Amino acid sequence: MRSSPASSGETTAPSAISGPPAERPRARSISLLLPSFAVHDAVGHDTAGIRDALRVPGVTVRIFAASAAPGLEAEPLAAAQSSLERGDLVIYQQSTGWAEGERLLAHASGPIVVRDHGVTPGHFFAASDAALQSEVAAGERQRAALARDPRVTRFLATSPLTARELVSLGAPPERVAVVPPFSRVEELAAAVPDAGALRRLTARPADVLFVGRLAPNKGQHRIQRILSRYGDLFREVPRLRLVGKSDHRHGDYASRLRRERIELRLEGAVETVGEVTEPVLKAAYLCSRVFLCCSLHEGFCVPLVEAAWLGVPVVAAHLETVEHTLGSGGLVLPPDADDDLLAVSLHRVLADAGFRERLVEQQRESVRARFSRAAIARDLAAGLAPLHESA
Amino acid sequence: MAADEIDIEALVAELRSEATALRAAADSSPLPPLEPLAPVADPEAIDRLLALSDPREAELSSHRGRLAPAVLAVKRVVQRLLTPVLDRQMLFNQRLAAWLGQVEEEIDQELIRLVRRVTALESSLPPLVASEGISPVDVEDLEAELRGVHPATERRRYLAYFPDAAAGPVAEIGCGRGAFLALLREAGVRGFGFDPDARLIAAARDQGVDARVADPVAALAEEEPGSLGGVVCFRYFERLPLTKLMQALRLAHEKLRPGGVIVAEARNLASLIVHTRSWALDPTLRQPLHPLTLRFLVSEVGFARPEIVYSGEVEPRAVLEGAGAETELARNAARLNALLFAPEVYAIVARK
Repeated sequence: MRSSPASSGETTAPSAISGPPAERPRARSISLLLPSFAVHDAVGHDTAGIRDALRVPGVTVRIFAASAAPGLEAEPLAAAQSSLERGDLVIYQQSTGWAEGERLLAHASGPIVVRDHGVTPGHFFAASDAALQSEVAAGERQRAALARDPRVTRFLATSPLTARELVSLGAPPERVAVVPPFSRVEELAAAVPDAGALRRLTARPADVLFVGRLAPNKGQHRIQRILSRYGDLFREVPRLRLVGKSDHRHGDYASRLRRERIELRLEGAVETVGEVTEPVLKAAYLCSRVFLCCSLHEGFCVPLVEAAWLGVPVVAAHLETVEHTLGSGGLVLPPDADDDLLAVSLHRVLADAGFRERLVEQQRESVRARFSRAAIARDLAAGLAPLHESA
Repeated sequence: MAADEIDIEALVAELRSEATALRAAADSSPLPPLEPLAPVADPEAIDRLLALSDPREAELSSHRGRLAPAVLAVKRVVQRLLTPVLDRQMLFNQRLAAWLGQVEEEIDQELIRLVRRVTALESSLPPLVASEGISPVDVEDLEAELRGVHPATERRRYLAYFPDAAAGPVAEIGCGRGAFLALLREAGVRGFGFDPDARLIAAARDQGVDARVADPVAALAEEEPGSLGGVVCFRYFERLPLTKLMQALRLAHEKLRPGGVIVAEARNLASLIVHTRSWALDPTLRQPLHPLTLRFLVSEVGFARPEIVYSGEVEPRAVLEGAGAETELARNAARLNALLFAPEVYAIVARK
């Protein structure tokens, strides 16, 4: 695994916490709290990115998690309480319901920063198992409670949409800032693709790629439908590769996708790949011609950045977050775009090499300018700057 | 906007027009409707495996009576100490289950693809039941006109294979107008037949024979094994695809009693005149059966020592003359006669 920019000596934006001595807040220690510190996980990558951006000489940054994947640097929650009572700055990763986290926050005597990733609305989980539904409902309740909590001094929203949601839930607008999530896109760009996967995937190259867990809000069912319409309109069906883990808690969504593939006669055209390592993911991006996103809800959608960064053109159905993530460079269709229009757009990207190149260039510029580690670290510093003023 | 920047709004307007035009074209020539298929594998199986993936969900228990709380406490401590190991085990279990899910799905897809392929191949063949074996014209009448003798009357000689009325009934595959069934009745042998052509069956019934409209092979399958004294088939096997012909031969062997006889008559393709006469007359014929081929197939399903019995001599006025003399020309004429004007019909006769 590549070392983080902070430890590898790459340029890092000045930390809001370190800052000039006169501007430093009281906290010399920062505690990052999250329920699960996992690999191949957006919140996990963001947590590691925040840690690396804030960890400078004289400032201790510790990650406390209820569970952590082997090899990831995290301490058990039991050790968090004393740090919080001591007055550490707490950065709380808000993405799902977490009763233990809520209990710990009650012990915080220092400033609290909520890092908000948005909560996928409950209606997407109507067919999911009861435990997940109650987790999501708890997440919504907890998010609303934190938005109104006067102890929270800063809210760092991953996108303008999540920022607006926080304000509508009661967060004071002046305390809310948009800071895109840290991701491993630069590591992914530098990663050597897995040789075996490259061999396997180039043997059956995919025209269309989507990366994201198999879940109703990710819209894989619509992608399949568009593929079918593409077949109706152009008398050929492009090959689709769906990369992402299947979570059994999402009820029968994976089965539903499989059933619909059969009904749409797409069995031979769709390949599902579960959770993959970074080198395999790199291979999947390299072996794809277009990234199609039909998500119905996203807090940010890191795979869009990965695709654009790695030169895979993106076609997307309308979604405010997706539009924000892709910026001016993306081919995001208007809200009234039906499956036919998406299929025709897909065809344009697949068939017109010149257009594809221009799109790739435009998207790459857009995401590299805004979502490099250094750029996000600058946004983070700006988002936390008011803490200096209050210190 | 920079000069080379894509104008998304203009592009979308252009794509909309393209979509409208393509939709209109697709709607005017719609593809065949989709036929839903049920998934082959159990979609819940992997979910059930995943539900068991976390070893920590195993309930801790103790049967040590008053010591139970202490034992349980120790077990809980051990379980906590083993957290990294259990985490890893859970990860392994989940990855394994996910991998199994993918393998299952791949197999599922391959299987469905194969089923589809077979179905597509089958549907590209002419219908097997509805019109199979039905000739739009009665070619035997035409043949009678050409040769001056009706083929059905020449089949009287096959009665010799069924001398014993007590040996069991004779079933005819593709009985047509029931000419042979009528001969059997005259000989006092019980016979019945099947033919898919209702028009011919109606004519057969007019003669008072036991004839039914049915797919003859399917109807034969309904007979009791070992119940028949004979199975006959006159120039009908050539109308069946090879797989169905083999099915018919296997059924004949199964339904005949020991010692029962099969007589399968076909056009003799080893006689070149057949290609310009009886074979060419009937457009529904699909399976050329060389005498040696049919004999081989009959022996393949279990009949011992099948014989080839030729008949249907070509009328003398058609053959080359002078073949009887001891001259070179005569010998060549004889060779040509054997090649061109060999008997037009043969039958494979075999006993079970």
